[in-house]
Amino acid sequence: MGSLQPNFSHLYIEKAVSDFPLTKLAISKFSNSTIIWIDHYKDIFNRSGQDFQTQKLSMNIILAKKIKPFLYPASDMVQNYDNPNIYYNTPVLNCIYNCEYCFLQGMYNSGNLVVFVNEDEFKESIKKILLNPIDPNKQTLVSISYNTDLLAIENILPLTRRWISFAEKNKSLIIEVRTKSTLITSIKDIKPIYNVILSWTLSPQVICEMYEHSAPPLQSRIKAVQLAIKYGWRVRLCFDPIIFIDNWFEIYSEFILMIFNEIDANKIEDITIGVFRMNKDYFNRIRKRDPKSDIYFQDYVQEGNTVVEDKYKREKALDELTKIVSKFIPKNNILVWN
Amino acid sequence: MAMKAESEPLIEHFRLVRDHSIKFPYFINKDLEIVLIGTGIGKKNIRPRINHLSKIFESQTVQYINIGTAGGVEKNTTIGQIYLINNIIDENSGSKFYPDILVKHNLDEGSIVTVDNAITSGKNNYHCLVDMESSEIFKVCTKKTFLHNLAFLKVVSDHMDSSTSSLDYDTVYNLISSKINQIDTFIDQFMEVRKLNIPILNNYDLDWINSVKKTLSITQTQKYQLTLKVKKYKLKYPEMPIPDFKIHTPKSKEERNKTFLRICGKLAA
Repeated sequence: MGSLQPNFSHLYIEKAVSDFPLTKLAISKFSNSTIIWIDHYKDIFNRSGQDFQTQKLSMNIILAKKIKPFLYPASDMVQNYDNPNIYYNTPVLNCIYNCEYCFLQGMYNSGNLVVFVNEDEFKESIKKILLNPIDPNKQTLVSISYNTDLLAIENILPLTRRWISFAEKNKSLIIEVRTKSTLITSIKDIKPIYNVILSWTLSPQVICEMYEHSAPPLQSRIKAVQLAIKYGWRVRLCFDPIIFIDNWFEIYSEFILMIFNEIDANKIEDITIGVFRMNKDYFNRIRKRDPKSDIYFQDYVQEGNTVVEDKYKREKALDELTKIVSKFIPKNNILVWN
Repeated sequence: MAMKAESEPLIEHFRLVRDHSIKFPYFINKDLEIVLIGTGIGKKNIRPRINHLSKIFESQTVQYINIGTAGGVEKNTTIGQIYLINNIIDENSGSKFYPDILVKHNLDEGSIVTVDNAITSGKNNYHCLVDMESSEIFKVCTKKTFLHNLAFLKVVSDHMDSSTSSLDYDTVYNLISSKINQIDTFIDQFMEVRKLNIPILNNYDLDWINSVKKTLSITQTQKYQLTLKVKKYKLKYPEMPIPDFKIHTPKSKEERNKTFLRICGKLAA
């Protein structure tokens, strides 16, 4: 965008975090950025009058200190892993990508990224949970990239590698890094460890073009997955959200066949599948903001607090797609959000 | 603009013409889509005058730029230097405001403190700039537009010393006049930002929805549903007008609902 500043032209930094190592690293990385010292990240991130979509065209970074809680129970929007020890955390708020179906635009007022620099406190809170899991017979899993795409900013701030290093020292923990990024190359020097799952969201190329504008195209993501497998990482694939565009079944069927033609299914941990769904408050907030996406003008139903495709339609679709996936992946390794 | 001496160079440069039907200084160039209003020194006139302006342009996206002079801290600023403000502190309330600087620009950025009385002593309490309007303008304008449609350009007029009270018309005029090209470039670029987020529905579409509501006497819920359908249609066919529907005043609710469904169905096809 010619009339706009490049991304990260401004760094908003809480005065209290000026001495944190991650703050110093960010300042050195963005030496040309204008620094604005602030009292609290919410003074910027939660301002009224922000336009999420315009800000996404010229994103800035806010460096801040998070206060409790550092860990949240898994959202009911994620697939049921039959394990109560599932959590997510928020080392970063917001994502450098801007997928049209993403709930973040309904969750936050701002298109800017917040990076919490007090990493140690996030890690300490996980250590506490590991000492006292809800179900001691099951492993504890933490998704560290739920409200962001952590790997996608690895060349800006190397957070993923720090989390991998933490996981290496805490074997009873599994961390999941969900991503659409191709920056697997930025961690290629790290020896893969068993308790880290790299989890790629893949969509048919037509969906990438229609709804995932700023994320890498499908072929680049496939290459990233292939590399991750080659390096020896555990890899999960997420076909989620399935979007019911015209001819969706043909498009997704061909897509799944293509994926397993290019990616060795035997090297995939598991697959998650789900249709578009969103917390109703986020959905309604996005709709009010006049989104330029047809996603928000389809006919959905409301189930509890969730806006979702009609039950019959989605169950039929998920059933049909699961059948295709199950030709390549054992059924008990296919997790479906129904 | 606070003072006449600050306004004059802009009125001349942008060939703005006074509209005498409005009781306060109001100058416009319709071709350039630029309006200048004078708010006087200090906060008191700002709210009513901006409210008046925004009512005139109610159905349009308005961008607001506060252009004026400011006192500067001697060790950090030079007289005649122009700043784009990125941080405003209201000295009286302690509130802090942050404009959203998304527009590409070549200006220095700085912070400003808005005070209630002119500073001629105690200037060491400040870091960069001082004025008497910015915080109030920010507060009023953020109720009317997005943050990124709001900008503050300040030219340093003095170092808050004994010279402050002796600033004359010509000095202020010349300060703004000397920065007119930078201001012009900024305004050009700033106006481009307005084009980035054009609403899905234009005024014609909104009028059409209102006319359907009036003719069919549809409910508020139906109007909302119709709006969603029209938005979906416009996203799918951005270049196409809304299809031509022959709509008559219905004789019953049943007929109304039938017509409403027919319109929705055709828009969704």
